[in-house]
Amino acid sequence: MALKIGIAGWSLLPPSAEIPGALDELIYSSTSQALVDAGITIAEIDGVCMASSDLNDGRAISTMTLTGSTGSFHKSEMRVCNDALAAVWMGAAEVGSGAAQTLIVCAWNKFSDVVDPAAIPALALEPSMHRSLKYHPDAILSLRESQESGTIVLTDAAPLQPNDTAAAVVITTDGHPKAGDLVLSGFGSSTGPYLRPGEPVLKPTQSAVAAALKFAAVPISDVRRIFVGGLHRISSADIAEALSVPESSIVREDPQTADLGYAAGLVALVHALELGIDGPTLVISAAGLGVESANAVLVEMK
Amino acid sequence: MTETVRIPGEWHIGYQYTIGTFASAFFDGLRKGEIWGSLCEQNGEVAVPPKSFNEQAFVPTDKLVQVGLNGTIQAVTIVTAPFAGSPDVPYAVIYVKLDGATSSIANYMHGVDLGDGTTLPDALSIESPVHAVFSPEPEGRVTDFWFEPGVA
Repeated sequence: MALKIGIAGWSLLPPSAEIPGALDELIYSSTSQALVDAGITIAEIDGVCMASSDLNDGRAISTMTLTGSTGSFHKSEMRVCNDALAAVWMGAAEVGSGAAQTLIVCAWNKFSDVVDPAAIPALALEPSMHRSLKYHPDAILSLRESQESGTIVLTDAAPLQPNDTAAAVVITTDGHPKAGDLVLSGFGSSTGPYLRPGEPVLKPTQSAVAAALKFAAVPISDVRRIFVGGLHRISSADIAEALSVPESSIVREDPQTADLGYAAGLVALVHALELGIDGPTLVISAAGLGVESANAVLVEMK
Repeated sequence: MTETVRIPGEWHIGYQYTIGTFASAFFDGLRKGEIWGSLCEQNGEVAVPPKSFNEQAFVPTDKLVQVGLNGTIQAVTIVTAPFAGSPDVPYAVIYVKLDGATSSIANYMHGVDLGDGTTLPDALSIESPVHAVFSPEPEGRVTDFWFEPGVA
């Protein structure tokens, strides 16, 4: 299977405790700059794929109130309630199928508008049992690790600092004159069954990576670097071991800016693009309690 | 058979929405009995309330302009179904294009007998003239003003 999606441009508002401005202004700043970077006008955009959280944004169906800023005014708009890498491969599917020629993929977070961001993760817990116990959501991951290892696992990491950010990438058909020299060539997600007790917590990540590499027909040994969005509770050594790569190939986000909500994967992708692609480069993310929802995309030079 | 149990829960997250400088200017204007919009010099659109970018042209709109308090009705609904926190029914909500604006802004329509809410008064017809009326003690909220029939 071969599908190459052109990367025309990108933009990032670097993660920060507070980025001044309204949420729609943050998003517009990022999407409009990505268009400038791509040399593409809004008239050439067919639609937008985005990753956002109504809970983080404090809006019901937040994208409906943010349409003007994403660039989807009177255009196609698709949203994932998942990490932004899922929006990337959704956009790639739309371009690859011929349903669209050029799209914006964007994601954001403005946690600084939330009075108590620390209260949000607990809402992901099942309400009648787990949430009533009021334990840290990271404990879910620890319990999975405990089942995997058969040992006691501490949940002792301090909560991450929530950050504001906005990121956008313009993708287009590989043959588009503004496509540039980089392509998205592999796409994978953890679409298999939920983990059974005792199964490796990184199995979804392994599945997503394996699917992306198989799609692109690229062996893991050819991958130069792996940019990781999210997965903050998992060490680089464990990720490297799970993916059978040297730890030196793992690139993590700054731990102080790692909690980027659904934007984590897209921020990692933009960081990879900004640092330069010198060979097959994986971008991975995993979100949700127990990091069961994993995504991977592969970026290559043409 | 055991009866189904309900476990009480609550979901409350507070927000302090940053509204940006353009929207802030709009709410500051309301305190003075003024309504402000934003002009997009590329396509001539005047958005009310103002935005720092134009959604259609996708360019920054860095100019605030004051619009008139008179306008015409572009859309209307009479609400007869009560909703949590809403005014007593029936009440009318209208979209009004104010003089000098190219977009419409929503607010309540007062000064019209809505009866039982099933008959549309002439004053609420599309393109009927209305004008903004301000509260004697504006607080910088969208509820500082409402619309009434006719020209001020």
